[in-house]
Amino acid sequence: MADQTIIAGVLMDENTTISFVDVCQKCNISEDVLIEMIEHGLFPASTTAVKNIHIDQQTFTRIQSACRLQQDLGINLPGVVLVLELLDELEKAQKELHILQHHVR
Amino acid sequence: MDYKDYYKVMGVERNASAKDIKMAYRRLARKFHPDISKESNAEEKFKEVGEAYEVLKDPEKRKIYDQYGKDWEQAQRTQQSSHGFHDQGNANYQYSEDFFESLFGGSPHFRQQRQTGPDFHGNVSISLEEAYKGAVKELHLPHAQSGRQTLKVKIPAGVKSGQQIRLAGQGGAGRVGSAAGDLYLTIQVDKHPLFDVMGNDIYITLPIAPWEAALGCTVVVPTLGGKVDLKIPAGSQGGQTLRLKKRGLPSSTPGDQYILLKIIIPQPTTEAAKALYKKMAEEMPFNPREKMGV
Repeated sequence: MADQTIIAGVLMDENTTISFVDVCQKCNISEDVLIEMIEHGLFPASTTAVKNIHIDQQTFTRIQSACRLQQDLGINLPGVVLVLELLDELEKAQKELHILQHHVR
Repeated sequence: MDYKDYYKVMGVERNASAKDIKMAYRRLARKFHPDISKESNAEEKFKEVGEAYEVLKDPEKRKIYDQYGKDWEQAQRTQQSSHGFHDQGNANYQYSEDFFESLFGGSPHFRQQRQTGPDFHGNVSISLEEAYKGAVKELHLPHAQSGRQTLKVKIPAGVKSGQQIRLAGQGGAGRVGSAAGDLYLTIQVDKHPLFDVMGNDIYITLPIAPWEAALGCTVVVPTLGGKVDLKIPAGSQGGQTLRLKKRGLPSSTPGDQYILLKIIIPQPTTEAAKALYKKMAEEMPFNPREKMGV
């Protein structure tokens, strides 16, 4: 079998950003909905000149999660923000617990 | 398609009411939604539950399913059913939609919007060592034309769980004259028996002897980049944390490695060892429970 070419993709890290308009298009949401997400604190962003902001990959993933949770589970936006904040805290607590469990074993 | 017992998937009896089915769906959708569940097969389970609900919630589809069992889809097509697989209603999770859209051509809604081919999404599991050093992984993925394809993908050093790698043009084929979509791979770093990861930082618990803590010493410590010498200060205590700067995951801001000291007490298995402990108690009297007031 011939050797396959190794493909190097683009790592979507903190340096990879997309524009406000592109986020709306990719998530299939209106600009007003994205602004509402900012106003509810889904992610930190200035509300002045909001349409000029560029969003990093981690924030974009968070916006995608928010859209899916709203659509799939019928949760309203304040509820989605709360769910994601609680999931963040849960993940952090589980990691700390795992470190402590390693320590006491 | 293999026959699935949708009642079993939903965890309801065959005579369950529409209300009970709806309640079961809501509970299972919350449980298995891939944005919430950390189970490895959450995406698959969520899709399965959505598929089951789509049939059981519709009185007409449910009737055909109950009547024809494993042949229900053929019976439904014969009766000119409406939507087929894509009208999954509540199953909007983009992982399954994009993939099946690419195989079956997509709904008219998607055809109107999409110029390029659909994006594919997948997960790739790597070890912590591979995350640290980088790796080349061979992946077996779906392909719109051939059904399956094998790709060798370079994983860069310093990736973290949840990060994505975009492979341009490796997604679904576009319409005539349009570009193919992209393939997004989400990285999952496996748990490590020794190291824990928080952000770019690495944590490890280091067992040391009582005299090493009391008198101080230099010990060898494992890191992802190899073994290094670590100086333990005299008078160290259990639970104390030491830091090796820039020994965490590589990044624009490299992480550190944190070492949690754990003092292991050797068992006094000989009379001489017991005598040593007794002498220590006499020579260094102190109350470790003083702060408790006892």
